[in-house]
Parts: sequence; C-alpha cells; structure tokens
Amino acid sequence: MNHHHHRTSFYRAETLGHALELLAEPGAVPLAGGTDLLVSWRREGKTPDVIVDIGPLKELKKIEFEGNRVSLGPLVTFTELSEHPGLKKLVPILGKAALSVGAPQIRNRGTLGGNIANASAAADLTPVLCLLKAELSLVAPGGKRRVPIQQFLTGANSTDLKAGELIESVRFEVPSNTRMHFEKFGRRNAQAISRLNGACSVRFGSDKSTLEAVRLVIGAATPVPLELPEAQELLQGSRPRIEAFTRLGEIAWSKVEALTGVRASRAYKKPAVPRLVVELLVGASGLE
Amino acid sequence: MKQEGKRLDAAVKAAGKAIYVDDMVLPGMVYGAVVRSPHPHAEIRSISAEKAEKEAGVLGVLTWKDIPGIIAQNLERPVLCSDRVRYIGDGVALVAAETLEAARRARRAVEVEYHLLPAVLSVEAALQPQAPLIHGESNIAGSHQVKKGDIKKGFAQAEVVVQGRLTTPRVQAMAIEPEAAVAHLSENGVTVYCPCKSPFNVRRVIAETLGVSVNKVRLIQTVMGGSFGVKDYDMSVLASRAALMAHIFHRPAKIVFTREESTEEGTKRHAYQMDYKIGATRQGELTAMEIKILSDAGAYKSKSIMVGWRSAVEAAGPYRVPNVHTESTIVYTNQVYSDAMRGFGSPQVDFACEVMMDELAEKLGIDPLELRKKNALREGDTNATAQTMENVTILECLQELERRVDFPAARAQIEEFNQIHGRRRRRGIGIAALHRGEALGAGGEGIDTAGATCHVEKDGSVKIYSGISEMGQGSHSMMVRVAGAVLGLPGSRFTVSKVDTDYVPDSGPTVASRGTVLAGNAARLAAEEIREKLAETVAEKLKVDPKELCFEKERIFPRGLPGEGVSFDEAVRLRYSQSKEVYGTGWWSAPRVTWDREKGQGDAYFSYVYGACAAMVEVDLASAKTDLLRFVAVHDVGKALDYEEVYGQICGGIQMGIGYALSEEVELKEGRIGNLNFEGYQIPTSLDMGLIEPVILEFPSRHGPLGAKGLGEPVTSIVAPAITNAISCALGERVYHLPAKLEVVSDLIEARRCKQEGKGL
Repeated sequence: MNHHHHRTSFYRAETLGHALELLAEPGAVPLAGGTDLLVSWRREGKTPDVIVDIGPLKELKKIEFEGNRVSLGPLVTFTELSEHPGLKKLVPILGKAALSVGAPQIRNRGTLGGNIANASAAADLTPVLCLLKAELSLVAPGGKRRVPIQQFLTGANSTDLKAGELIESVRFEVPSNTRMHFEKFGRRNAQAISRLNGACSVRFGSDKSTLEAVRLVIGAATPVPLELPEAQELLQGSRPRIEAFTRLGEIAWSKVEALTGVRASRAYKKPAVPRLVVELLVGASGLE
Repeated sequence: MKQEGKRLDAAVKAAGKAIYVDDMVLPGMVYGAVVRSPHPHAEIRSISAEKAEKEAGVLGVLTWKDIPGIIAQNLERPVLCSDRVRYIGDGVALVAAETLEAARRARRAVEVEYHLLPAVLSVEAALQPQAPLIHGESNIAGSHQVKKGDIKKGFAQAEVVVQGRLTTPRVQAMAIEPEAAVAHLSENGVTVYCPCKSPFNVRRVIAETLGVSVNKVRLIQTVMGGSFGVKDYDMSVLASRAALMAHIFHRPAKIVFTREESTEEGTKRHAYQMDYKIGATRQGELTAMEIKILSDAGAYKSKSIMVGWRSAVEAAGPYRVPNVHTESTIVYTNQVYSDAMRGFGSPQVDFACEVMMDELAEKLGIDPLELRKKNALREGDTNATAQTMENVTILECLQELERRVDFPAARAQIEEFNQIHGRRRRRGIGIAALHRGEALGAGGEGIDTAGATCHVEKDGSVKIYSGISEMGQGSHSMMVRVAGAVLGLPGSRFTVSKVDTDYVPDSGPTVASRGTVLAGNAARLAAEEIREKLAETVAEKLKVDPKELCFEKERIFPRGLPGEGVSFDEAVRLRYSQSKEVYGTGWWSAPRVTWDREKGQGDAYFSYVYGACAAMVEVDLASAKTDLLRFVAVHDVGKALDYEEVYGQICGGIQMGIGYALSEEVELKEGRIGNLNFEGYQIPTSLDMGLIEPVILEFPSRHGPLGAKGLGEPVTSIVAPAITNAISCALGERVYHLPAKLEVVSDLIEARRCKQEGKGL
C-alpha cells in the first residue's frame, strides 16, 4: 500500500567483494558501528530499503605502518584508535580526538570510516585527519580512487562517496619533528557533541624557538573543518606569542562568520573561536 | 543506626529480575498510542479516525466522547481533550491496535481539524492586559504573599541594598523509565498497574474517567524506574487512558511512552523569574527582604499553586529577617505544564536567595560564610512567616561545613592554582545554606497523614502494608528498619507489600520528603501496637510487668535478664494459641500547621530541615565549561536510619543539582520542545560529578521516627547556588541565570576580560 508496509532487507557482508556486490543494489546503505545511523533512522522513523552490515569485514580493520606512513582500515574503532600502542607513539593526537568521542560504549562500536562518511560538522576525527592531510582510498565494483579528505568532505553530512562505494583505507604521513595538539569544547566530560574542536601542528626551526611550520584546523564551526593558512603566514619565523595567537583567533572568527552568516550560536562562538585558536597554538607550541 | 539488613529491592534490581510495567505482557493485550496536539493553543473542530481505523491491526481510535466519566477536573489536564488543546503535547485521541508499532504508525492517519488560537508563550505575555485567556477569566492561576514587619522601615534602616533579577529554567527529571501503564478488567471493575507515587490520586482520576466509585478501581504500583517527584499527574492521565482502553475493548491494554513522548507530554519543574531586594546594615545584619516571584505553571494547574506557596514561605532563606514581603504569582501559559519535581518550589528560591546573599557579602566586604552565620536563624527566632522556629540547626550545619572545608586553606590553594594556571583555568569556591519545610505544610497540598499495618504471621515472619511508595528511595526498607527496631527483629523477618490500593491504607502521596517521617511513624506505631500485644502475652506467662519487657535480638525478656525470656517466635505462637491476633495498625498525622492567607503568616510547616554546602569548581576560560571538583554537603538528617541510603540520597541529589546548575533546561521555542531526548537534554555524566563528600549531622527531630527527618528534596535544593557562587568566585562575575551553561559562562568570561583590559588602559 505505502511505506507502512515497507520492508528493510538486512545483509551481513562476509568479504569486501561480497559487500560491494550487496551495495550495488539501489538504495543500499552500508552500516558499520551504527552509532550515528541508528539514531538518525529512529529520528526519521524509517530505515533504508537495504542495509549492508560491513561490521564483520576483517580486511577493513587493519592498522599498518611504514615508517611515518600510516594506513588505517575504516572499521578501526575509536577505542582501537585511542589504545593502539603504535598509534599512541607515532600520532597520539588521533587517539586523543578518538577518546573525546561519546562514551566507552560508543567508542567500542563507532568507527573511523563512519566518523568520516557521516561527515557531521561536529565530527571529532575529521579536523585531525585534515591536519594530517589524510587521503582516502575508495573502492567500488568499477575500481578504486583516491581522494584527499578535504575534498571528500563536501558539506555538513555530505561527502563525495558515490552510491555503492566504500572507504577502503585512510592514509596519512605523520610529519617529523612536529608537535600536535587537539582541543574539544563540549558541554560535559562525556557524551558531548563538540561545540567546537580543532587540531594544530607546529614545527620549530633549527633554533628550536622560532616557528617554522604552523598548521591549524578548526572543526564544528563551519560545515566542514576549516583550515587556516593564515597561521603559517602570520606566525612563521616568529616566536610563539599570545598576542599573535590572539590576532589569528580574530582572523579565524571573521572567516567562520563569513562562511556561516549570523547564527544562534554566534554569541558563544564569536569569543570562543578565538579562544580555541589561542589554546590550540599554546598547546602545540608548548608555550606554557 | 547499625543494621545488618540490605535494601529490600536491591537484589532483584541488580539481578535484572525486577518486573517493571513495560515487562508485563498479558494475553490478548491491546496497545495504545496517543495523538497529540501539534499546536500550543487551538480549538478542536473535528477528529476523523476513518483512515486510521482502516490501517492494519488497528482496533479503534478513542476520543473524549468514549470517556464515560469526566475528562478532567476543572483546570486539570484532560485524559483526552474535548474542545480545546492548551499545549503542544495535549492528548486528543488514543489509537488502539494489536501491536505497539501498529498503534504508533496509525496515529499519523488520525485527522484532527484545529482552529488556531493565539498562544501565550511566556509569563510576560500571559500578564498583558489583552492576553488570550487559557482558563477562565485570568491567566493568574494563584498568588501568595508572606508579610512580616514593615519593609519600608526595613529598607530605611538599611545601609546597603542589593537587588537583582534571577531566573531558573524549566527542567525535567529524566527518570530512566518512561511513563507506562497496563490495565485489565477485573471482578469489581478495573485493575491498573503503573509506576507512580500518588497511587490514591491516580486511582481517583481513573475512577472519575470511568465514572465509577474508587473501590471499583484497583491500582497496583509496579517497580519504579525513578520518580524524582515526577510520574505524578502524568500517571493519572496515562493510567486513565489505559483503563479506558481496557474498558472499551474488554481486553488488557498497555501504553508505554518513548523518551520523546515522555518529554513532550510530561510535567516539568517550574521556570521562575525572581526579583530580590535585600537590605542590611553595614555590619551585615539583614533589615529587609522584598521578593517578587513569577512562576510559569504551563497549561494546567496540577500542584503549581502549592509549589508557589512553598516558594513564598521559604524565599527569605534560613535567616532572621525582621521585615519581609514576598509575593509569589503563578501564571498559566500555553507551554508544557509543570508539577512536582524534587524540590517543589525550593530550588528556585534557594538559588536566588543564596546568590543574592553572596552579592550582599561582596558589597559589604564580609566573608559569605560569616554573613550567613551572622544572620542564621537561632532557636526561638521567628522566620519570615512569623513562625517561632524550634530545633533550628542551620548554625550547626554552617559550623560543620567550616570545619570540613577549612576555608582559609581551600582559598589559599585556589589562589595558588589561579596564580599558576589562571590564563586558561580559574578555580573558585562557593557556599549555600538551606532551610526547608518538612512534609506537606499548610499550603493546602493535602491531609498530612499516613497509615501502616503490620501483620505478624503464625511463623513469626512480618508483613508490612503501607500506601507510601517505594520509588528507589528506600521507603519500604526504612519502614522495616523502624518496625524492626521497635520489635527487636532483623530486616530478614520482614516483607513489605507492594502498594495495592485494594489492601494498603491510603497514606497520601509519596512527596515532600514526607515518606520517612509520616510512614516511618505509622510503621513505628503499628509495631508498638504489636509490641504491646506480645508484651501482654509474655508478661502473663513470666508473671512480670509488661512494661519491664525488652524486645531485642528476636527475644522478649525482663529488663536485665535476657536468659529468662522467650523467643519472639514462641511469644507469637503462644498468643495465637490463645485465639488472639498479632496485628498492629498505625496512623500518624503531622502536627497542626496554620496559614492566614490575608496576613501572609502562619506556622507553615511543623518542622524544618537545615543544610549547608560548599562547591569548588574549575572554569575553563577557553571553552567556558565548568567542572565541579569537590562538593561538601552537610545535612542535618535528624537520625540516619541507614547511612548508605543517606549517602545515596545526598549523592543522587547533588547529581541532579549539578545538572540544574550547569546544563539542564527544556528548550522551548514557540511552545515546542527542541531537546526531547538525552542527546539534547544534557544531564551530568559520571565524569561530571567531581568528588562528593556527604556529611551527616544527627540532631534528632521531635517528630520523625527515631528522630529521622526527610532528606530527598533538601539535598538537591542548594546545589546550584553553591556551584554558581563558586563560578562567581572564580570569575568575579555573578551568575543570575540557570543553567550556567557554556553560553552564560562565556559571556561572564568576556565581561571579566573587558574589565581587565579596561583597567589596563
């Protein structure tokens, strides 16, 4: 008669090939940890026609290293990101961001790939992945392609992922001699959706006191993480100073405002974005 | 008191074996789903169920026309609305179906034609001369005043005056179990199972809905997944709907709410706007308080007028104030209605009064604790309602707080922290003091009496029956402890009947932190009657004076001669063998209270409880998030009947208070709630609790069983002001509005920064 009699088909994929085959069906949606999808399906009061559970796919759970290069399977959970010894050593900022998500139950189920593909404006991993210039490898029955994360994220809850396509891996190279810092502003200490977040990296020159390379990405302020190239322009060649950080913070807010217009959250974000930028730079540069 | 017993309900709950109402499945059960108004104010023109009734599995759609009795008492929320809806969430129809899913699906097909009326969406709008009327002739639901002395004179004597407007938000309990009820027809009429705290009120409303006498309705209280003052009038409406379905379809019926439905329909703690003006001498002696309170009742009356009365009585705090004038006005709006919620009008005025006391201390340059000690009520003083105060322990609470916290050391630590980390994080400390009327008081909430019956069975085991509800607070275990103490029996001898209106005595509602005092005393009296009966039997056998007999360790013996007595079991056997029973009945009524509406004076409550607490917080100057680091809560509980329970009550109360202080508010926009579920309605998590230090003082009450006092509500009432006063200490900017969420604290941080930069120029 109508959608009242609608049935959802639920498949559990056994291999990546199997998953891609199942996902070729029109209206098919891949399900990983389900921590975002189940909530939104309940809210909307409807489920997709075809759900393909990719959760069991071992080939998408790998964590691999090659020197400073890291390749992560999309089904690596937040918990694994925060507890993996190799990641903790090489790129602790990723674990810190992962640990800021939800609560243990959510971190045990929620995945890296889900955080990217769901593309919430308030996602906690994406600013870090943007900072790391991560590249996604996408796979479909027709073949593979590679897309930088900044291009993959096209808007709030909007990505470049095509129907039938899956994230196969997330790759990045950890820059050497670089300090990184992650911040999250939330309403409480767990189960908090970011009001703002951000990631920052700093490399000092050979004198160990002059900033040589500075990168800064803020999240949850704009539909997709916002990188501030001004950080490099403004701070390069100088010593870390609060005054300069504050100036960058003001620039950051004016960019956010230009991108989002006047919103209800302005009263908080107008002063908080600059404060976030300052803390990101203080944290990364070790000013205190 | 030492006791070997555990909470009676602990094991089944921990094992997952407790049966909640939603666990109940009866053969042939019908499920209901409520169709609610999407408009804050509208006339109902027509309701068409045609399409919905054609949907698979649907048995029928009920409207007010199917109600054999009345839809509601005047001013109360209807079981189903007839001609008008007054808030988004008002129920207009009830879809009955073979499955819950079918019922919920089909409600979308019920067509209701509305004629929109202008809606009143704030207290301010409600008080405009031309405001649309929600009930009758005025949007003012009720008002109260408290008058003492002459405030003109009092402010003339004042050398320092502080005044401010403070607001508190609408909040909700978010009990983990949403509202639900199961009903079925039974021999005499209808039997309804539901979690509730005012079983006899719920029974009355069901009877009124069905148009039958109350003895045709049997209400059985199921294990309760949290109340916190809520599941009150909401349950009367919901249980009546379930009973109506059973009545119409002649099948068992169940309704269970989703979290969103619970939030949309369910009662809240009243949002308040309060104007405080306080005068004092330069030495810090209070001379006058003038207080104006506006309370948003929402769309229906429920207990809003009583809530506003308690606020009026308590608004001047636990202080000696010679001149007081308080006005409390309760106003209808087309918003979700409010009812009892843990505190019942205390948390709002406690917040305002304690924030303003801190502001006064700052203006006077007096330490906040010293100011409170200086003005604290003493024995024999009169309070704001001109009642002579007895058993006053506020000073003892403040002194104990002083000892526990060691303020100079705490301040020095804070100072040091702020020196080192002050660019990013600042710490502060704040206090608050409490007095709170025990039980229902003279505000017309009801007749303050409770009953208990105690049956000693032939094998020596004991069954207690009372109408006071176990809702997780331990009331049934409490009665066992009191009766056990009187009879010298361990808790393992006892069981307590569930609240079943067919068997237990009407003990009034389990509200106002009255369970321990009222039902505890009733249980004591019932046990004393048994003790008298058994003493008579044993005295006859031992040929001693019954007054000389002791009841200890399951034995009854002449004082000082434990070897010469008989066992409790023997005594029971002996008495039954003489064709005599071993039953006891206890009724206890609260001492007389009085209220003169015109004068605004009276002996408002028969007793008051006191407390004092301190909060230490850390404010992140970047994110504007406040972390509670440490909370010291001193409460005079009279007599702790069970230390673990008392600690639990205090910690739970503080947890609710943290939410009230920092994050919780029902967000209403055009009468519609934006945050219906837990992701939007932010209650504190375990990581937001900080270190909690409950401190129990025991100054026995003249009235409570074994000296005990009520505790459930006092513990939560002064958490928010202590926390916000600590934020103000950290930032040098005062918090006047709850919750002190990121946005509020961020503004204070910016105000502080502007002042500092201003100074620098």
